[in-house]
Amino acid sequence: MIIGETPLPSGALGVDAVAMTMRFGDFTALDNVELKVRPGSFHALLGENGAGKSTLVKCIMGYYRATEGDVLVGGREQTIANPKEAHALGLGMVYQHFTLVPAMTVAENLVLARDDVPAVVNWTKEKKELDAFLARMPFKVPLDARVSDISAGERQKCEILKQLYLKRRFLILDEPTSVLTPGEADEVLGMLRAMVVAGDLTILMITHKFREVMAFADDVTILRRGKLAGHGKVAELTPDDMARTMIGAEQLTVQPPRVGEVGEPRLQLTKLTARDDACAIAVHGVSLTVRGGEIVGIAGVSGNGQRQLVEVLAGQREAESGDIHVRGDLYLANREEMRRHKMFLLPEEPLKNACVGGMSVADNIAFREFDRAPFASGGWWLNRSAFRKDAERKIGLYKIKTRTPDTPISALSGGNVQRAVLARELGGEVEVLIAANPCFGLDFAAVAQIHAEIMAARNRGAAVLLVSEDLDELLELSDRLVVMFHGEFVHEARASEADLTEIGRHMAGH
Amino acid sequence: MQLVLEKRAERSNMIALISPLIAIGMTLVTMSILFAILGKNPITALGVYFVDPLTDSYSLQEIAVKATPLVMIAIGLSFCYLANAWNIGAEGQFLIGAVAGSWLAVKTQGTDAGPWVLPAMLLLGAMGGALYALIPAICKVRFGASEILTSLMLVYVADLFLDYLVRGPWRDPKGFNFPTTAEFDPVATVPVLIEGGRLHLGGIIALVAVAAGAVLLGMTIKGFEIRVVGAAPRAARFGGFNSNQLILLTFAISGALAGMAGIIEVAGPVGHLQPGISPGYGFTAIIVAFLGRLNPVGILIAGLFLALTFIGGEQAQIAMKIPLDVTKVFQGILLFFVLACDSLILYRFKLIFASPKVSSGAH
Repeated sequence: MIIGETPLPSGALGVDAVAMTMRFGDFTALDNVELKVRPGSFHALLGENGAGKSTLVKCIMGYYRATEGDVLVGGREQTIANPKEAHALGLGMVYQHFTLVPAMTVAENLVLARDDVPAVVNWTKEKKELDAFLARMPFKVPLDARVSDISAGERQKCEILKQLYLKRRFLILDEPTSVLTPGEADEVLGMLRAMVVAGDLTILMITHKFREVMAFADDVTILRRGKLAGHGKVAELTPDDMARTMIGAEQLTVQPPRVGEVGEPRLQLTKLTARDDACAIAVHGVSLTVRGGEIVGIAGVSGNGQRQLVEVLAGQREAESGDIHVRGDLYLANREEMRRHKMFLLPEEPLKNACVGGMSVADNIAFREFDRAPFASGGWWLNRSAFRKDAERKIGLYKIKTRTPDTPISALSGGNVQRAVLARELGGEVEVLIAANPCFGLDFAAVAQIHAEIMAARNRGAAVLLVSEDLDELLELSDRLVVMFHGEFVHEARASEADLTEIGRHMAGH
Repeated sequence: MQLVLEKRAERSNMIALISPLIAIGMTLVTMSILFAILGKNPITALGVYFVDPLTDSYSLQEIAVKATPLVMIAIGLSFCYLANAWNIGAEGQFLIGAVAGSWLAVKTQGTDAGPWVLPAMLLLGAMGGALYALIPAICKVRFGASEILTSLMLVYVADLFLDYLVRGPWRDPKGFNFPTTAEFDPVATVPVLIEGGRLHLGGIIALVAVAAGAVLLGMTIKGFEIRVVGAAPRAARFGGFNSNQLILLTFAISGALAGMAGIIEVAGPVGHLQPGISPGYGFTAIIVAFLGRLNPVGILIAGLFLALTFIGGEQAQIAMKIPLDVTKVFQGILLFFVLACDSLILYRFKLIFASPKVSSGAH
C-alpha cells in the first residue's frame, strides 16, 4: 500500500469488476463483463455451467490474472496478483467443497488458517479469544469437536466462520448450499443475510437455486457464455425472467406428461449392504422394490451411501451381503444380465464412469452392443461401418454436438457426453433404468432433454431408480421418494404429497 | 521467470506421433555427452553405433535376427499394457518357452523323427510361455498380488531352472562339461531363409505376429474389450466387462509370443539350449512396446531400431573398446525419455515471466 493513501473503509466492502476479459488461448471465458457488488449487499451470480461465473470470481480473488479489465475494491483500483493479496484486502471465498482438516478440532482449524500462526500456539489464550469472537457471531459451533464428527451443515458454518475469523469483509460463496439440507441452507443463508443487513459484510453468492436467490439476495448478475446477460434488483424479477436470461433464445425439450399405470415389480433390493473404499459400511441393509412404470427417487445429502449403492447396481462395486433381483432373477451386474433384462444406467460424471475418453463417439455409443449383430459377426469380427451408421443416426436423434463420429468423446462438452450416454442407454427398449445425478453440472438444454427422456422411459413402462442430490429434480420426476441417511432408507413418501421440511429433517437424520 | 507444466485443453495427437522421435533425439544427445566423458569422439562413436551396421549385408541380417524376438515379445506385451496388465516378466516367459520347446528337441535327439518336430517345438514353446505367464496373472486375479512383482521375480526362477537343466539332466555328454545341450538335429532347427545367411524363418513369424496383432486390436471384439478395459477400468466395470478374464487372456497371449520367440531363438540362431540365450530381450521388448506406441506397426519399427543398438554396441566394443554395458545404458535412457516425452501429449511447457503475477490453479 502506498503511504499517504487513505486506508480502506471498515465494515462491508464493495467490489466492482470493470470490463473483465479472460482468454485461455483461443477460448474467451469472459468477454467484457461488468459486475457491481454494492457494499453491504447480498449479490447473487447466476449462470449455466461454463457461463464464466467461476472464472470471474477467480479473477477477483487473484487465482487468475484477467487478460483485460480492472478490479475495484472499496471504490479503489487494485491489482490483485494472488489470493494472498486478495485476503489482505479483506476478500475471502468459501468453496463448494470443504477445506477443513477432518482430523482436527474446529478451534485448531480456525487458528491454523491464520497467516500469522506462531511457532508455539498458546491455546489457553487462543481459546479465550475464540470464545470472545464466537460471542459476537450469529452462528454457534462446537469449538472442541473434531470436524469429522460434526454434520455437513455445521461444517459449512465453520467454513464461513473461518472467513469471518480471518476478518474478511467481502465473501464469495461458491454454491454453498449444495451439501446442505433445505433447512440447513435457510439457516446459514439467513444468518449471513442478517450480517449483511447489519453492514458488517458483503456477499457474492454463486448459485443455481432460484429459491435462494429470491429469498436472500438483493441484486443479481446473470452471465451467459462468458458475457453479461443481465443484472438487476431481485425484487423486480421473477425466477422465470432470470431463467430466460440465463438460457437465452435456446428451445428446451418439453417434458412429456406423466401417464400410464404402475406395473409389476421389476427391480428388488433385499437387505443390500456394501462397504466404501475405506471398508466402512456405506450401504446398510437396504430393501426396496421398484415397479415398472414408476420413478423411485432417492434423496439424501451427498455421502450417505448413495454413490456406493449405485456402484453396486452398476457392477462397479461388490455387495457385502444381500441380493438384487431383476424380474425375479438374481442379478450380478454382468453384461449378459444387463442385456437380458434391458437394464441401463445414467451415471454422474459420465465421462469418468461410463465412457472411454480416448475412444471415438461412435465406439462409445456402441459400448453396450458392440459384440452383437449388426456390430459384430461370427462372434469374433467387428463391423466398423455399422458402428458409424448407428452413431450417425443417434447423433442426429439426440442432438449430440460433435465434429464427427470419430472424434474422441473426451473432446465433447459435458452436456454432449451425457447426450451420447443417453443415446446409448435409452436408444433402445429399456426395462430398468438407474440414474445417478444424471444432470449434475449440465446446462438447461441438456437437463430438459434428460428429464424428458427419463419421463418418457417411465411412461413406456420402465422401472426407474433416480438417485439425486437435487431435491427439485427428485420432486419433479419421482412418483415415490425415499430418503437415504447414513446408508439406510429412513423415510418414504409419495412425491405428490411430499413435504419439503419433513424430507429435509430426514435428510439431516432427525 | 519460471517454467511450468501446463495441462493442454486437448491431447496433442501431433506430439503423440513425434514424441518417440524427440525421445530418440534427446537420447542421442545424452549419449554423445556420455561418449565424450568416456574420452571417445561422440560423432565417430554414434557413427559406429547407428550407421556402420546399416552398411553391410551381414549386419543387416543380424539386425533382423535380433529384431525377431524383440518384435514378437513386444507385440504380446502391447496387449497386456493396453489392458492395464503390467507383465514385466517376458524374459522369464521367453526362457521357459525355450526350455519347453527344447524338451522335444532333446528327447528326439538322434532318432529318425520326421519334420513334425519343429512345429511341435514351436507349439510347446508357446504353451510353456503362456502357462508361465498365467502364474502371475492368476495370482493377480485370484489374490490381488501385484503382477509387476510376481512376473518380474519369476524371471529369476526361469533363469535358474534353465541353468539347472543344462548343467544337469540335459547336458551334452560329449560337451566337455560345458553347460549346454547337444546341437539340435536338423529337423529340430529353424531353417534359414537365404542359403549361408543368418536370416531365418522366425523373421516371417514375427511379421505374421505384427499383422495378427493389428487385426486383433483393430477389428475384433476381444481387441475392443482390451482397449476399453485398459483405457477406462471404471467404465468397463460399468459396462459389465470381465476385466479378470482379459488379464488372463492378455497374459496368456503375451506369454505365448514370448515363449515362441524363446524356442525360435534356441532352435534358430543359437542351435542348442544354453544359459545366456537372451541378452535381455524380454526387458528390451518393454522399451520396444512403448517406443512403438503399443501399436503393431510402430513396434516393428521400434524393434528394428533397438536391434540396431545391440549390433552397434557389439561393433563399438570391437572397434572403439566401448563397454558393451553402454548399450544397456542407452536403452535405459531411451525408455526414460520416451516416458518423459509422453507427458507432453497431455501437458505443455510454458515460460512465465514476472512470476508472482499469475499463480497456478488453471482448470
